[in-house]
Amino acid sequence: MDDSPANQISLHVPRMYRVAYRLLADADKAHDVVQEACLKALTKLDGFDGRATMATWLHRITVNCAKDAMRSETRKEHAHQRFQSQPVNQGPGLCPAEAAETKELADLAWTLLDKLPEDCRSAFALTQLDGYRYDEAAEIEGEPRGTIASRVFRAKKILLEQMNAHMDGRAKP
Amino acid sequence: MTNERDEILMSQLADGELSSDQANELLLSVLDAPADREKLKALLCFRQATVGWRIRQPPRPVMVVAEPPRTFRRSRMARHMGGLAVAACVGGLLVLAGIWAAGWLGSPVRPMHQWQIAPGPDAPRAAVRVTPEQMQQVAMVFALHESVAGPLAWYAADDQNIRLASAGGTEAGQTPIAVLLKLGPAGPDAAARTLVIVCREDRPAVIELPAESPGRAGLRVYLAPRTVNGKVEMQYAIAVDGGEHQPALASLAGRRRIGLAETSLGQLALGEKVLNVEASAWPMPQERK
Repeated sequence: MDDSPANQISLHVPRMYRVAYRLLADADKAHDVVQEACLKALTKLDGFDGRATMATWLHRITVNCAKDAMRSETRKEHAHQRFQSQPVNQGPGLCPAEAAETKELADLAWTLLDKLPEDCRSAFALTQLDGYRYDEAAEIEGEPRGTIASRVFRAKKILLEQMNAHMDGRAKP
Repeated sequence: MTNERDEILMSQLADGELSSDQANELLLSVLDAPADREKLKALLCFRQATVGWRIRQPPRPVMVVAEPPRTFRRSRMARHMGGLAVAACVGGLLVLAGIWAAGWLGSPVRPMHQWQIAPGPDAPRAAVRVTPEQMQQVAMVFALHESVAGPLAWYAADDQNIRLASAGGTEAGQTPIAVLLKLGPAGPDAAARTLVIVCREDRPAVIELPAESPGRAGLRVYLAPRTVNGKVEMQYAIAVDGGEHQPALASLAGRRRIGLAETSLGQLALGEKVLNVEASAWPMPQERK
């Protein structure tokens, strides 16, 4: 593959899509936002000064495009409802029972996500949902890598505690 | 173990963020501590629970092209004012002129969205050719769109979509090549989906037509045509999607020399259905400017 700008950008498309999808909760709209973000990135390539990595630069463009799309329709409140109702692709190699349990955990995590402190939620979403490495999330957030690692762990800890509490409550008659 | 620092390391281990040395060291210490093993197991389960999000893919390919295609549908076109309204008037006049000319020549011209180059049930397949009137129509429509949108790298239309891509510096000088692409189930009475495409010689075009309705498949077409002895030698790849929630179901690719007579490019197997893919192509005369 050549290293033309279009090819470089296309390498980031899956992650851009996940970011857009998380914000919009609509596959088609997320696709349109990514398409628009790619075009904007190509036309603004001269403005990319290399101080940030391409991943973080594209992330900002994608988030801005998604926010523009959200402004026209205030859909944020509906987003999590839709996430709940949509099937989540499960990891490979899971039996149906495991897959059901995993899906239940994922649904529950989404419900509890809103209750996280903002800094933890953002670090968690970037690394666990959008697929950014800790280094990239650190650059996006403008924080040291260690801070991101700590926030991600705190988020997981809170979510795991709440999920355990939920499961314990369900187990009791 | 375990203090919070170690737990943060376990979290990073579950996320694959530790170097192999760090990971080995941590795993060795975790092996001796059952409580830590449970913590690590919980973190790994948690990681597994969100894997679905990290492998999520766009429903259709996102095209990253050097020249951004200007894409709009007919419903959006209707909203454009000024230039497009004028262009529509010009187009109407051109079509009327075409109909008048065709009537004068004794041969009716069909509207663009009713291309019917398929033969009747008894007609021999070899007799299906693009008529001069149809070639004239394609030329007029392409010229009309270029008059509105400027030089085009490619133009593609079916009965629901119109897609355009602006020409770059060198593309505008390349010979435009018209391609009629027909996808339809086998059988003379089966309704076919016909695409009118104009692209440029030696300039590959990647065209995406989304699924517009539940029964309608999305389509991606790659065409790289060149003229050889008045015919068009075309390299092509065609993929048909099964719909929004299904992966690409069928594709075909190849190279053919195509002329005005309808030529089979192959067949696409879509579940229990088989789609015939046929094409006609011709180089279009370039306007002198």
